[in-house]
Amino acid sequence: MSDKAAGAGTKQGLSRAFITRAIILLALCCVVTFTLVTLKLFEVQITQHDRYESQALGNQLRRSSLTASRGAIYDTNGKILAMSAAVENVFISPYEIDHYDMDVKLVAEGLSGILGVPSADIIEKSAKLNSQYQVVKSKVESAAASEVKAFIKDNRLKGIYLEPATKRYYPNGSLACQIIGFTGTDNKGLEGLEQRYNAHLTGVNGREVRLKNARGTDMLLDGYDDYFSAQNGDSIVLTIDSQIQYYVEKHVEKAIEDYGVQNGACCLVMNAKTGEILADANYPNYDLNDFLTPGSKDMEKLADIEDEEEYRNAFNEALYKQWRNRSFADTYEPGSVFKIITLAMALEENVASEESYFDCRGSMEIPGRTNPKICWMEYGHGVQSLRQSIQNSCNIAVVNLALRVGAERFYDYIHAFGLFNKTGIDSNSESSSIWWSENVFFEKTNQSQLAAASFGQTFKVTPIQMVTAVAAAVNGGYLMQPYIVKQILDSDGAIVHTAEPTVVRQVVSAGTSRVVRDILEDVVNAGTGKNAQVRGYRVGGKTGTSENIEKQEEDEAKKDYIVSFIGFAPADDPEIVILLLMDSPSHDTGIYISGGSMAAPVVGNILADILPLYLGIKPDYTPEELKEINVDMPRVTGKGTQDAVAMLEDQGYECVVVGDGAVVTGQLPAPNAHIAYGTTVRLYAGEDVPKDTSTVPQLSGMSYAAAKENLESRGMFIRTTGAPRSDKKAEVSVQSIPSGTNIVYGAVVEVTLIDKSAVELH
Amino acid sequence: MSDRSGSIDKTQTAKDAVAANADNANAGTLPVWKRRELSTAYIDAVRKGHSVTGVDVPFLILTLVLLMAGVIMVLSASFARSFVTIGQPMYFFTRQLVFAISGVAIMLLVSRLHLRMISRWSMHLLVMSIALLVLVLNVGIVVNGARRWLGVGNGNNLATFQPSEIAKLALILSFAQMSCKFGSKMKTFKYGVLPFAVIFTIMAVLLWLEPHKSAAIIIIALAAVMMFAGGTHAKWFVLALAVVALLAGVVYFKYIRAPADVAAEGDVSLRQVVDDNSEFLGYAGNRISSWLDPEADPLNSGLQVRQSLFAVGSGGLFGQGLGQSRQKYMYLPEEHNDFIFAIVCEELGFIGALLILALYALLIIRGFWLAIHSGDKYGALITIGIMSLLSIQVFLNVAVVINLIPATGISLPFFSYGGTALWLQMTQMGIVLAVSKEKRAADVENEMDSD
Repeated sequence: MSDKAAGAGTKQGLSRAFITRAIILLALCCVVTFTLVTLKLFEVQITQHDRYESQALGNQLRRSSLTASRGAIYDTNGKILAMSAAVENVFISPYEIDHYDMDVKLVAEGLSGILGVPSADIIEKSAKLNSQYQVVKSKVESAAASEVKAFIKDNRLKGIYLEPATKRYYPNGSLACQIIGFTGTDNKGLEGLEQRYNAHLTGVNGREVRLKNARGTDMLLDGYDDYFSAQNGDSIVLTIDSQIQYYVEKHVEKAIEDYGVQNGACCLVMNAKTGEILADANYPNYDLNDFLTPGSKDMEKLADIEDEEEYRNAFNEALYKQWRNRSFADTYEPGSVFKIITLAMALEENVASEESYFDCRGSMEIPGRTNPKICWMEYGHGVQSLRQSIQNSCNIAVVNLALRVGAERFYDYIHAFGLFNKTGIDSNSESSSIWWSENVFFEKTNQSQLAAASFGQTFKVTPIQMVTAVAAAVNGGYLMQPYIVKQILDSDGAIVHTAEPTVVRQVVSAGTSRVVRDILEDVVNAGTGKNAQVRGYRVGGKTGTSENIEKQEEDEAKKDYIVSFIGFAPADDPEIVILLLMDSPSHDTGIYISGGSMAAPVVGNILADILPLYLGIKPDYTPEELKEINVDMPRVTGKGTQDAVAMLEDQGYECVVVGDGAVVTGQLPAPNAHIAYGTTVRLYAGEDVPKDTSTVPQLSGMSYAAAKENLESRGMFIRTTGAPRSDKKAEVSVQSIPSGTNIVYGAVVEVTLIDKSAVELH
Repeated sequence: MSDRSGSIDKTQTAKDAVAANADNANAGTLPVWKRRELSTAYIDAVRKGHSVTGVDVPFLILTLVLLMAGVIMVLSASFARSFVTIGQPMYFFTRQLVFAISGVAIMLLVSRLHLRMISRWSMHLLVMSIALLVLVLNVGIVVNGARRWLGVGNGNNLATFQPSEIAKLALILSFAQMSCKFGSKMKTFKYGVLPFAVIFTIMAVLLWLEPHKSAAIIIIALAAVMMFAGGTHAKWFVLALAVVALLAGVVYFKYIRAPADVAAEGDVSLRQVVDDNSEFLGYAGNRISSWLDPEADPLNSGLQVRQSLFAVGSGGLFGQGLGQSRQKYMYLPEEHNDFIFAIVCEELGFIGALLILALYALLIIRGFWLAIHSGDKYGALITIGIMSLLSIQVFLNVAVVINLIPATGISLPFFSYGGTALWLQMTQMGIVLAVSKEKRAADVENEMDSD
């Protein structure tokens, strides 16, 4: 056993040459080939590992993104303003369609039929053979998605897929549209709070990484699958109260109609004590679910444009306009509303008191001012107390107040009232105000800027600044930080953030504030703000009318005005501050264009609706007010005629009985109709209630009594808003049903009464 | 043969056995194998556990380990496709397991054959294999435009096999036989070149006609190996190499380089040139194209190579783990067949792939060791032939998988799925074992002589 190899080799005659050749062959077979293979293997597996692995994974992994559900937006009472609903994205895998020889035409036409996507587009996408993911249509709702699934199944198709996604819905359509804003197709907030709070609302998208076999189904073994669940977005709870918002929008929309407002409007309602924005309506507005369509009025205008580029520009402009939150983004000259601020600073500076008197002769000399005419009352208001001056909205008195305060102190107060800076409201579009520079404003020899500023001209502020400043003037002196988002909730509904009311600073003393409130209440009770009266509540406020100075219009009949009214209630302890401004009412309505005649009654109407709601207290009517209110017609049909008449007369109605039956068989107005106290009702005893129609008359300009009689003579009834019926100067400005309308017997027409004298002339 | 004293009873002492057999052993009249069985040295060897059947244990173990690894990889690689196409994930594995077990039986049976018998049948096998190559051209099953397969049974339901596989074995056996017979005349052209050249040319032409160009190339390479080992004069190889180099040069310059120069202004890639000359290069042109740039046409001819590289590349150093291949999920075509090594690389990584390659290398080295030590020229030649064939096949298969050479349809011995190919492989291993047994017999004889 000693030397096997040698023994075997030599003995059997395997020549040395043979062995040499065998060893050469062995070297070739093993050393050369295996070395080559090993080197290449090292290159592929080690050097190029990352590249090949990523390519392989790109091939094998079907990455689907799990869309985090976007958080909802709730109003202050938890009502949904914006929500996300599950939809599906339909995509194709051109690679698989080609690999399995699917009929591209069939796929394209089938999907086109269901989804409304041009089949040429689908064919184009299917030509990208290296791709496994080409979206055909995103955000397909469940009905269409099921159709697609059926189509796939029926035709045994491969390479068509659906993946879950979410779509944004706004259940209330246009309600608070500029506040809420909208999201783009990628679920990214583009406007309003959707944009402002995008990071919170979006959440974190999840990712599902699944290994797929070449046929697109899951691999049998799934060790590599990765699943990062989506972290749903936070929800936000607004300070907006959708009921208040609803009433505000209802009245503003009606006002825009009634007054032929050309250039939009906005109305802000704020909690005077906390700075919470309760409502913010802006016009033109739009349907959040269809934000890319201009409103119908704009569409009418657009229809006339023929030039394509012009059309596109006008179209886009209309969109930008309707998306714009004017309350935050637009500046305006506040006009006489600003007198509140001048009043407050004068009282705080002790340069005037309730005992101060002002002699208005219609004009006064102001250093640097060439044209001495200054008060809107050409012949002057005469000698008036401070209270009367404000009631009369007298410019001379206010200029005097400002001159006494002085330009430097005036600007200190402007700053203190937050009128220089943005308020910091939850908005990406808030603008700053525009003021004279200090150099110009502080010029001793020219105080015309100070004089003009004292009654709200030659500077521009945003509505939100104005509301916040006025709130400070009446709420005890505290400038509040306005806000719209009061809570942020995580996806489980737990509160992650709560906004607390924040006092920015105290601007005036509680005493000053009390006097300001008191004087402003009188403005509504007996001054230019009269038409904003709300029966049963104490309301304070101030009117404002300012000319659109950009327009440079000389012709009075063509001048554009911004009419506004700022109100607060209850006047003794303000909870709500409301600012309404309407840009460019029509000259054709027959109503004098001014804040007192146009904006004030609308604010009154809004307050009448929202005060009971927000304050939770029923109106407290004085005996006089009881005769001014609108009441619900009781049901008397079926009652004894005499009893019915007695009951109704006891409640202040006047009765006309038609027929001689013992029992009331019919009544006009119908039960529960909302009518003016003291209406003359018609009771039918045995006779039929007439089914005739009647034509609504033109009531504009009539006194209450005349309008009532006119309507009742035609079988119609009246109810009123605005100024008191008992007011001698009150007359009808607008009516709810246009004249000439044929309407059934018993209809109720609401009219707005205004005191035409409660205006500032211009 | 069943009466083997060595295995009768292990409690019997060695002394007794020696005593009992001493007279017979010394008789000198018994055939070698009989004497061997009775020899004390053989009993010693058996008792040391070296061998039961007299075959070379390391070679046997290496073969079985490779076979086992192959069957396991078939299970892993075919799992997905088996499930998708057949409906049962274990279908291919179960069949391969049966093939493997029967293959081992075949190997052990063949290992008992006497070399003389193999030698006697060598030329018959050659004639038969050429006949089969002719037959396949006429009645072969057409797969992908090539007639490479012959079917057995009604509708080929019993078995299919490639005559080219048999031809390779036949070539090894017959060339070895001829070399032994010609002896020193191998140095001459008349004996050492001409008859061999005629045979391998016939085979190569027949294979080329199928067409099965890779098999033709293997046949030529194998013939060269056999002739080289068999003693053909070295000058003929030098000459052949020179001719091959010349041809390669002509092809390169005429069909690839020259057009590239013509188009030098533009940025014509090598690949485009190959494409442009597809008429000359034939279907191999596509293969070459996709080898040059596997990503150029990922969905067609480049698909296999590209997907294979994905698999190999993503294996990295340690692999995804056994069974964790992702490319086997219908991405990689032929994943349990020609491209099974890609799955090996993906699952077992660089380390695992080297291990498998090392097993092959060890097997081949052991085979050559057996050949050199067999002491019998015929046995040595057929062992060298079989080992060379194994190494050529492994190299060509792996080289394709890792895109070292253009794609060819060569299976990986012991790993690729398929019954007849595996059986033939095991037959070849059986033949090597038979040689090893012969060597052992010779050893025993030597030892007895030296006793």
